[in-house]
Amino acid sequence: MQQVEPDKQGVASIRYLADEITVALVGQPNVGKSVIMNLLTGVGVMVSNYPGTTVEVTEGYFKSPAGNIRIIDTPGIYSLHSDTDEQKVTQRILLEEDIDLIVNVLDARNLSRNLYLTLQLLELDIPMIVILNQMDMAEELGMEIDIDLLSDILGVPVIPMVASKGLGISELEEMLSSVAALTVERKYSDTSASILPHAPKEEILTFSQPVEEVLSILQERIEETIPEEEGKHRLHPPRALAIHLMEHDTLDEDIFHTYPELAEVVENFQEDLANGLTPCENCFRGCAFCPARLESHPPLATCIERTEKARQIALKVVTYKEVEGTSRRARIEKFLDTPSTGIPALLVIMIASFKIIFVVLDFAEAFIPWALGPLIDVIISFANTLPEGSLPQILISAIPEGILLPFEVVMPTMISIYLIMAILEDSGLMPRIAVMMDRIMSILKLPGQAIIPIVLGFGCRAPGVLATRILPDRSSRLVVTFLLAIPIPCAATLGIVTGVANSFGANLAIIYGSVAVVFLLLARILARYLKPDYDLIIEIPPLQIPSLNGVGMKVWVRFEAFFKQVLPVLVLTSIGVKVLLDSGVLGGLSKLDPFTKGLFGISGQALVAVAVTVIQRYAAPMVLLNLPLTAREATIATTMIALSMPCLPVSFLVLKEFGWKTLLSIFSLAILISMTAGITLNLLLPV
Amino acid sequence: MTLLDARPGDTIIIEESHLGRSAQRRLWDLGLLPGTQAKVISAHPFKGPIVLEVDNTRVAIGRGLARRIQITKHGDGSHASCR
Repeated sequence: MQQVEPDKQGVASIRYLADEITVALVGQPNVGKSVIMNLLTGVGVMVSNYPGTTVEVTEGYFKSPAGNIRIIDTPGIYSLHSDTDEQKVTQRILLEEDIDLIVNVLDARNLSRNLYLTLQLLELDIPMIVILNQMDMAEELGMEIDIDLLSDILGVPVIPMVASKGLGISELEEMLSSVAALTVERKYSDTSASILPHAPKEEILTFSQPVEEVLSILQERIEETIPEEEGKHRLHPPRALAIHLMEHDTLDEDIFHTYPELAEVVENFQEDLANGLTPCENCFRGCAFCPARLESHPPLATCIERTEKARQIALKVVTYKEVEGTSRRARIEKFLDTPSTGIPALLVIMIASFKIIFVVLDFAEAFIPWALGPLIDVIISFANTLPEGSLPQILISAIPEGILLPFEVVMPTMISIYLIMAILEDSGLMPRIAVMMDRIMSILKLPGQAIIPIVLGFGCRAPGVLATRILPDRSSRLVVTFLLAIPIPCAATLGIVTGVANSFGANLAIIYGSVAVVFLLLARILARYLKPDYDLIIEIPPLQIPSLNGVGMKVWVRFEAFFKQVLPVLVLTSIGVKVLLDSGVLGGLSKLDPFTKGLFGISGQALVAVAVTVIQRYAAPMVLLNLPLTAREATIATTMIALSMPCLPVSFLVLKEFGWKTLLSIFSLAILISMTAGITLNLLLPV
Repeated sequence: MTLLDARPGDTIIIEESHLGRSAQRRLWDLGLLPGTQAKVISAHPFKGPIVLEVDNTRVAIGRGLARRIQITKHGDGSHASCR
């Protein structure tokens, strides 16, 4: 990393080298990794989507006496296989970002499951520090862990920690600093002495005899095919690559992209297997690429053996002592995890969360225009001095709308949603809500968490789109986003529908009936087409009070992003759309009267109202209410509005979260659905 | 016997499971390999998920998957370890 600050004391050169050190934080979900990240780096972290995925990676700097150390917080993963995007991203970071040190964070309470990942990381042969976090909760359970013995078995330093209380952080900081200093020294002095002890006991990384036999054949072939550079074959040590091959079939594109030669290795190996040239007399049916594996699906041998080794290590280092009584945490967990008491309690928590979000949004909607009022008055009076109808006049009078929209809707949305989501996630409530709602949401073939964005959408769809981040996979995020963007009526839509229906005597049952039909049909079709992974297997983490630091940091990062990324784009687009409207381009639609009357049975001007919803749903009634509509026309027009394109803030968030392809398909689908609904109603409703 | 037959309070042992590739890996990732002992914490109403406790952590499994996970109840004697 080249972010070197000019140094007054002349130690810039040593800092420069330390700045090249990269540390990866790796651990399973819910181990408190992000809290450690916050403590190490403080403000100024950067959150970015890893290229080609929706997986977020946080990066920051730890300021050690030897210089800035770059820290990458990898997504939480249970194992280092390549099944999920999170796992693929972590693999790529570990292998491609030139990691000098892995800080592996473990949850002390379930060592054996956490050690599985640790064993996989040790196979990569990268210097490592192990953090045993949540020691306080382990003690609550009566666990005593022999830290020295664990460190001895793993052959790497082990630091006990209670990150939520800041305990053990200074030890980690000291160790990171000395690693930085040592790395610099090593780069100067050309010695190959390792930075940290990295001497795992051999037996913990050795598999059973039959597995080792296959591994050694594979390793030999890999070494023959891929030239060795500095003890590694491109990125992996050869043994790690052989193990990886054994655990993954050819579906792991990432690895075969990095090592195209591997395809040949596997092919030859499979051919030899088929011809009986490879000694497989001790077949354990555990190689992912073996044709015999297709017949049955036993757990992979390496995985079983690693699990067993992890379990053995945990047995060796953990002793249990009797604990008196149950902790307060255990009592609350029992209350929440017993369905008869937990479901009502969680419902209350959910309703309260929604309430908070909408209170914030209402407040912002009243307060922001008032606060920005003087500024807007200045802009308007300036615009009035310009010649009427001139381009500068149109542009400048569009600015107030452009400034108001981001501050009035998008900013409060982002902050309140991220605040609530951070609290629900850090406290361990979110997975419990997912479990509670699993049954209901499975009707829509969606995971239980989907209830949160969907219910939010009935208030305002913008926070709904952001909240899809809690969903486990991209497919279910997309399904929910499509539902939010098209049929789900937000408070503003509901307002329009009721307002217009009352004025013209439109048929509310038909309007809401159409929306409901579209919602169910769309949910079904999307589920069939996108195949969201709604099967529930989820860890329910312990309840804890979210740390102010952690929640504050998460919200702050978004707040910064609002000013840096969201505000400029949004101001420009909303000015653009406003100009488009004011300049009368959309008014041209009213010339389409014969066409619209024939197809939808509504006037061209009513169709303008449908188009207006793109900027702000609130603007649509202003157009509609000024038109002479019959009850029938009003019913059709409002149904079309309720099912038309999402408003600008929602469109922007969709663009930011999913990219322009998704936004474009939402727009085209919305137009298609809105028009189909218009045509269908025009055909069905009696004149 | 499948996980659907388990009742809150039971101690069970996970046996074979026949799930899709990713669900299977997630099950193993969460420590629910054949031979693992787990305690049934709760079963949500209306065919909702089943919550297990394994190695001090809780794991919720939807009924759709639970149906395809074979178990034996602890003390049945019918349990044959995979190891």
